[in-house]
Amino acid sequence: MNAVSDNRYIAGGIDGWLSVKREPSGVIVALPEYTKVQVTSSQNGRDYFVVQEGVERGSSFSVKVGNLKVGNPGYRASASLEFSIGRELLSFSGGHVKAVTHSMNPIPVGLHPVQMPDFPHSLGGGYMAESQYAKTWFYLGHGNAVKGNNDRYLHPGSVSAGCITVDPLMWTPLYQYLIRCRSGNAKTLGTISVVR
Amino acid sequence: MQKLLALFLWFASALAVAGSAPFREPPEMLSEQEVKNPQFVVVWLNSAGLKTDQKGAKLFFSLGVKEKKSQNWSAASKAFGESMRRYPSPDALLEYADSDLKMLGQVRARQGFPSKLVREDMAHALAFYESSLAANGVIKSLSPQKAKRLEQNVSCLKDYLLSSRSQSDCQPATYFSIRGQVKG
Repeated sequence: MNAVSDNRYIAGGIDGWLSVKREPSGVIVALPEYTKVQVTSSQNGRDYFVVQEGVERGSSFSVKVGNLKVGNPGYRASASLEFSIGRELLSFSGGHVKAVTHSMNPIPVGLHPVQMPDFPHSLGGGYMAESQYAKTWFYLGHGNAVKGNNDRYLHPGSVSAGCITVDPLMWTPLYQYLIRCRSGNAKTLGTISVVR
Repeated sequence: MQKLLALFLWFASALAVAGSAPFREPPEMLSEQEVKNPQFVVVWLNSAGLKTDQKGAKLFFSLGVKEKKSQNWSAASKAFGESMRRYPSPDALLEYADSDLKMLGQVRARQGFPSKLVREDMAHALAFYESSLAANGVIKSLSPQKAKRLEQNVSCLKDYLLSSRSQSDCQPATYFSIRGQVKG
């Protein structure tokens, strides 16, 4: 057993997620790429680590050696997005993408946090042909998303139930921009301002 | 309305030149305005030869059924909505209207059931129920029980919108007393 203690970063699979084993339960959990972790030990071909940010912050996992990368993945500054309900347009520093919300239950006007991805969302599976990152949704709230609490996400799709729903064909560039943004609080990637 | 007119014109011209020219491919995804327009849905479904994304429609419908079983109404609404915009089947339109109304019922419960918004929600749902009824006139895929319930939904929602009072057996109105999961 090698006792180590160094910072590394999740290397995601083709969909941006890496399956890891929760320790000591052994339950399989998916973590989003570029998540910062601290490796605590390596043995029997596995790295043991503690997650440093996101919804699993502080939790212990293990994964086969080779899935945790060394060196800053190129984090960017905090994201500052704007979504215009009326124009059906989401603007970010990389450009503009078409986006909608539900006409009867629109996301409230104002500033919302954009959290790190929490888990792969199965509904995104219908859009994998349009974007390989379609299962990655960003929660637009404080704390953790709780079912029954009108949880709103930034996600790809065509139909909204009150989220900000982005044209799936335009999801990849937005994802690739957002996934490396950091606000510095180990929880959010930035903010989105919702305007009329 | 312009799209509906365009579709009528295209269908008429396609019939006139049938056999001598290939059918023009329609857009693969219908808009919300199109699927909530019963006349548009009827014309669209009657237009044999139109390219449809039935595979995608079935995939999202099955995802909707899964979310419906979990009573996750917003996710179910999204999935059935995605399905109906690929292929406006009577079932997809009916399930979308039901799950969307249940999701809105949970939202309005937290807001204290503001009457103006509740009326708008019912009008929103009525359009999709009417489209489902119209689609069933073409495809006839709903069971007799479902078709009867759908007709009752349309009838009682129309009554509600005229009188602002719901009949005790108006099923869509009962969704506004449901509590559970809501996810945007």
